Amino acid sequence: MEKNIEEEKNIEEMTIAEVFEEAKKELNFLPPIDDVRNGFGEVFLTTFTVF
Amino acid sequence: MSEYQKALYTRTLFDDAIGMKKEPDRVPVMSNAFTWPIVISKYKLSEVLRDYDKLFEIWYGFARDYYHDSLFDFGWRNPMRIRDVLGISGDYVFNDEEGTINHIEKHCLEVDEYDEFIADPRRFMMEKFFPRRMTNLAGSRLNAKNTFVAGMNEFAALGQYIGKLAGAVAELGVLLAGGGYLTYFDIWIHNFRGLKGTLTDLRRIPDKVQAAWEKYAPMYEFAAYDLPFRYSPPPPIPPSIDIALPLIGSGLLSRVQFGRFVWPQIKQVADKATVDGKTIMIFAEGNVEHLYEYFLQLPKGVACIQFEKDDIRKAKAILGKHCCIIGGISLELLNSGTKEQCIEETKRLVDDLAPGGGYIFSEAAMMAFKTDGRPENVRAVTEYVRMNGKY
Repeated sequence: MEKNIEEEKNIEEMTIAEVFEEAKKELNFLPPIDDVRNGFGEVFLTTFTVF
Repeated sequence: MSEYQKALYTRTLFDDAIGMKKEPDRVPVMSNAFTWPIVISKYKLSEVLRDYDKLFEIWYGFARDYYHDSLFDFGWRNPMRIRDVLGISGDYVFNDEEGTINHIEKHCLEVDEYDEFIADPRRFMMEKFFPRRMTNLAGSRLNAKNTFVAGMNEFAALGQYIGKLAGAVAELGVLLAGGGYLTYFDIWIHNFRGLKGTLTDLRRIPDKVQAAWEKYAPMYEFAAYDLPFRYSPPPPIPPSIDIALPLIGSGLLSRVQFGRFVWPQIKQVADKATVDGKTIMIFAEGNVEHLYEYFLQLPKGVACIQFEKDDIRKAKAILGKHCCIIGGISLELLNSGTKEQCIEETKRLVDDLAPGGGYIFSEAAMMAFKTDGRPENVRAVTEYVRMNGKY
């Protein structure tokens, strides 16, 4: 519980782009490339925009 | 032949038709079925689009029971599970009785926000556009993170479904079409300003629209072209065509508007595809005859164009030495005609359009509704081309 509160606090202080970088740690799937130069969240949310 | 050899053979049919250096072994057949195989099945549309097992059953069955060489749609167009977790909601309204989806426009950029967008597009997208378009990203940062993780995991699930389907239908010699790439104009209509808003903006504030698209381009080009087509490893089973480029609203633009706002992007992508050895399928909705002068500027042998409302014989006569033509059999005939009438019309199309190569047979328009064709007619015409479209 204490850990969750701490995690929430840290996340809330991040920029939205940092939040999406943080999210990478929890993914079951990562793209098979290293170069996502425009920022991980921006790239994939832009991809989702076409849906 | 192994699954991979069958896939390569089919890919060669499309490459030869599009490359226009030689006639293919036979006329390739591209499916123009979208939700039609679902709405004629025993399942509900809203149910199948959220269930990859049912989606696989439908599209594998479609590939097995008809004679298309490639599927253009196979469930990627309406990925409801991704939309659901991201909160892209309210703009699709299902009617399972009729088997239809109605699209309701949603604006995520107001007309007085252009200056803010142009000043810092990345910030606008992150802080305003994405939370408006994908409403589950709004709220706390923790909520945004959890929504993004869920969206990415659903994206992976879609990829797994596509990979499984690609392998299964390749054993039948059928390929899936490649990834989609949209014009900024269509993205603006679909996501940012709606059809009326976009067309109004193009008339009233064209310079601002152009400036906004120039700012948006680096973000979009990396996500929609560079990442999937340049930096990602090729899929184990090749697609029939590499890049699917729908022109959804361009038929509504004047020749001059298209030349200023849409054509430069298409030309740029076609030039990149030429360098990268990729093929493009342009899916032209509506009538686009007034845009042929632009299509003649495409690099030769890189693109094929699906026509919906145009006179396809005239299109072949004007464009046929320059790019491959797709289309032909009308949905009205497929729904109302007899099997014999459908085959007779198919024979005329193949006789007129196939000589010299550069022709891919297809249903003339997107098959979405129950009345867009009778299964026995669709089977008969695709079988006819498979058996008789040999060069």
